[in-house]
Amino acid sequence: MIAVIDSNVLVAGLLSKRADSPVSRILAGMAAAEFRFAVSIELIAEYHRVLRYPKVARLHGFDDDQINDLLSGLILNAQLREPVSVEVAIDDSADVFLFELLAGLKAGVLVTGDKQLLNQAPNWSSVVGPGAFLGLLEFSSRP
Amino acid sequence: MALKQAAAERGKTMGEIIEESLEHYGVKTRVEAAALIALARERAGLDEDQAMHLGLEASRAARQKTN
Repeated sequence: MIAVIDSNVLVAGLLSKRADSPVSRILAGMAAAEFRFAVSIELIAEYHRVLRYPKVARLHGFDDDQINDLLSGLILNAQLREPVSVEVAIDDSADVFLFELLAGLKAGVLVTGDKQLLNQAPNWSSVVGPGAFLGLLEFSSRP
Repeated sequence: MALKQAAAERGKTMGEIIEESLEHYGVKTRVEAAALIALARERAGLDEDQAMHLGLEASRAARQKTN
């Protein structure tokens, strides 16, 4: 299994006070390379944009160097993949790049907090919320 | 030339020096990332629902969503 972590999970994990919340555990897992996850150039760029989003930046208080350090620490553990062109019937075409990344992965799972994406996921894809993803990780690590 | 000299001084190949540097960089960035995450969580102090609400807002803004 290899995960695609939506940027909303990244932000929520960074700003959530509870270390044991699913989003916090996922972000910590990315930083510690505890599971496999994939990124595309477009997703890395989005990670950068969400961390610089004014309301988010005000809360974490990082300068550009710290944002770059954080992203470097995460991306270092990721697998950089090429998106694959796919046709996806979802309401918002701006979300398609996530499925294009997912389509190029064997046993890929998109992890998102976006209920619209969870409800509209194409049949060929696997899209789960943060809590369900942790359940999958625990299941896959069982002997 | 600096890399070649460093390799000669330490009795290692240039490849080994590069590998060591990358490993050092990786360890350093992992430690830094974990420390930054802890700092941000302490500063922000949001509950999980608030944090996800803001995460969704930031994602939508990044994708220039209007809905």
